Amino acid sequence: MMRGGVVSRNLPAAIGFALALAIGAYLHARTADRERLADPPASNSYIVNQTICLGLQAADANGACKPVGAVVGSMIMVQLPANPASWTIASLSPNLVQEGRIDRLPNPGRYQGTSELYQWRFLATGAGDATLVMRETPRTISPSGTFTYTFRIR
Amino acid sequence: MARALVGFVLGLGLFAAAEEIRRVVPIFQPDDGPATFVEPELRRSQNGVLETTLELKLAKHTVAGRVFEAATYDGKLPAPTLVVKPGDTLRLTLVNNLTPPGQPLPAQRVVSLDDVYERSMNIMRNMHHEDTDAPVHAAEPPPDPQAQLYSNLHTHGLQVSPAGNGDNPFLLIKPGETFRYEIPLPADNPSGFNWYHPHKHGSTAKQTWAGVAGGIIVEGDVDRIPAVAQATRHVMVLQELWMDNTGHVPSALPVPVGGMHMFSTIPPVPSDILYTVNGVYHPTLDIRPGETQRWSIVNAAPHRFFDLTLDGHTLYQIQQDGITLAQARPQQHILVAPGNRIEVIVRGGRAGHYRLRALEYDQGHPGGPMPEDLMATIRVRGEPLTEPAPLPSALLPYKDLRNDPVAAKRTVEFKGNTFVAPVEFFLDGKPFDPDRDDATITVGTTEEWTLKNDDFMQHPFHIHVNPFQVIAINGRPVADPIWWDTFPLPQKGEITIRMHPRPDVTGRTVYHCHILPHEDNGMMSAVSLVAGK
Repeated sequence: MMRGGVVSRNLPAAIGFALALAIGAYLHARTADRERLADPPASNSYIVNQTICLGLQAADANGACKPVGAVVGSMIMVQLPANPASWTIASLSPNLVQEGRIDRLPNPGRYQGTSELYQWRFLATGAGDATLVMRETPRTISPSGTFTYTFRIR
Repeated sequence: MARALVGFVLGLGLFAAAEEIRRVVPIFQPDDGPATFVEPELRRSQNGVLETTLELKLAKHTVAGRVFEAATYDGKLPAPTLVVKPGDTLRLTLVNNLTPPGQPLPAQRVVSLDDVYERSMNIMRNMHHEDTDAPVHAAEPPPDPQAQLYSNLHTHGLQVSPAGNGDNPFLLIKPGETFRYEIPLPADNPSGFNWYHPHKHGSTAKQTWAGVAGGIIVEGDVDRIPAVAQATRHVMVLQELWMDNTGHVPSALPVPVGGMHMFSTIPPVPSDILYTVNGVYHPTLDIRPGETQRWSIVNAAPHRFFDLTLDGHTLYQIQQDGITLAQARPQQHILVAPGNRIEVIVRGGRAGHYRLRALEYDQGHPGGPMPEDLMATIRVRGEPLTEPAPLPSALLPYKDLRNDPVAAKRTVEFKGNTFVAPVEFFLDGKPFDPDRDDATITVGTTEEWTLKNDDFMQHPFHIHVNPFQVIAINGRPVADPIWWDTFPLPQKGEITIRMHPRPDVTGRTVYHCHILPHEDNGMMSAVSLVAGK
């Protein structure tokens, strides 16, 4: 009786302990797999930021950026300096599908007047031309207040 | 429920402790796989001369399972290690056979200093660094589409003449040209580990991203110190290979970005940066328990800082930038900026696998710190030595420049801008101009320079020919100054250095930031080394 009572009293603790070890072992196995991953996959990302737009801005009220070629199934990553300025997606072609949330990368001291990089990810889902208009509030980086990215997806 | 929670927390705690222990004891068990550590080929001097040909050409190498068409000397990734002694002469024939991918090799002709010097200066004069007030030189030719294939050769760390066919950064050798360098080492050139790489202003970064670099060993007094002599030597050329999905360095305009990719281009293409040791991704190097090895390490990356640590082991540093320390320094991690070399003694610990890691490091790049990277696996195995090999202590004494009278003081300001493309990088607000000397130094005297970094990104200051001692960092005196030829300036900070240019070497050379895309985009100055009156 007494032994049965000890076992039943400690059973939840034992189960919890075992569960924690199992979770840890699973996470460890995933980490170890990464360590064993000798050959990282090739990138399929096209990364653009403000540099592909600045320089064209003065003469272009629409904030046009240099056109980018990409392939269907690739990821298009857009990085823009932010905080305190903020960016919103003003328009997006249907063959670009936003993936996940905005990544916020620390960027203190790098670009005057901003402390973060915002990063958006878009999956190129269909061939054809695509546009992405990013609007800045307040306007600090884009002379026109917008950057209009154009993509030729094949 | 409370007991279950206690058990869960205890289990997590135990696992966390095990993970922490795993960092320092040999539990790490990666696949051994085929990625074996490879030693670069050695080419030694004979009878006081190292005469060899270095053919600069594309060559395919498999890196992390991908075919990468590297730029190489003689097809080797990395290039052969040149082994010389003080007083020897390096006779290097550089054959530039670089081509765009898939193109036939150019016909070769031998060119002389007279053929190339003025032409090289003219090409550099006509390079534009955007948005500056610098004068635009007349008779500007259209840009040559092959400009990224122009090259030359710099013997980084050798205290040799920068004039004529020597370690001359003002030369430019085009594809289809063969040029003969003759570089005599002084009889008192320090013994240590240095390196060589292209140094043509405007294409240095692309060529080192493509893999062109090799080590130079100057043999001498350090090799006779018993604890050093007993250690097995390995050269480790750490590289940062940038490749697109066709296996080439992207040819478009580089743009620094945040996140794991670090660089994009205009126009963008998918690309990756892989860090290699002697051209191998994640190699495995063996050491016996108790055995000592001497690792001669160069950061040949154009951009990435490596803050190196070896799990479960201490690194006994014996050299910095090719010059032996007075006393070995036990270190748990050592920052190796682009261009830096270190030599360390490592003694194998308990049997097992240990990671040589580049720790997370914030060099001021957009998007925050560089993430941690595995560089290599060290496998301690085999029969332990009956008596562990000795570790170094006292090494070679050297002069302390803090006691010297100062003949001149100068200040240099570093300032860059990665907000636009092409990026802009200046010294004292000016881009590189090959005709303008920004300093004239009387050799044989001691100068004190204050190097101010106006940027959040770190700039590794490098000056050719003569090393220097860092005597203060952000105004705080350095207790025990050592010699450097490349030192990373602190973010938004400054350092004070002293140098004593050797009296027997005069000529024009350069100082610059050793983040090579910064150098290529203007962060370089010419300096004249002149004899005293």
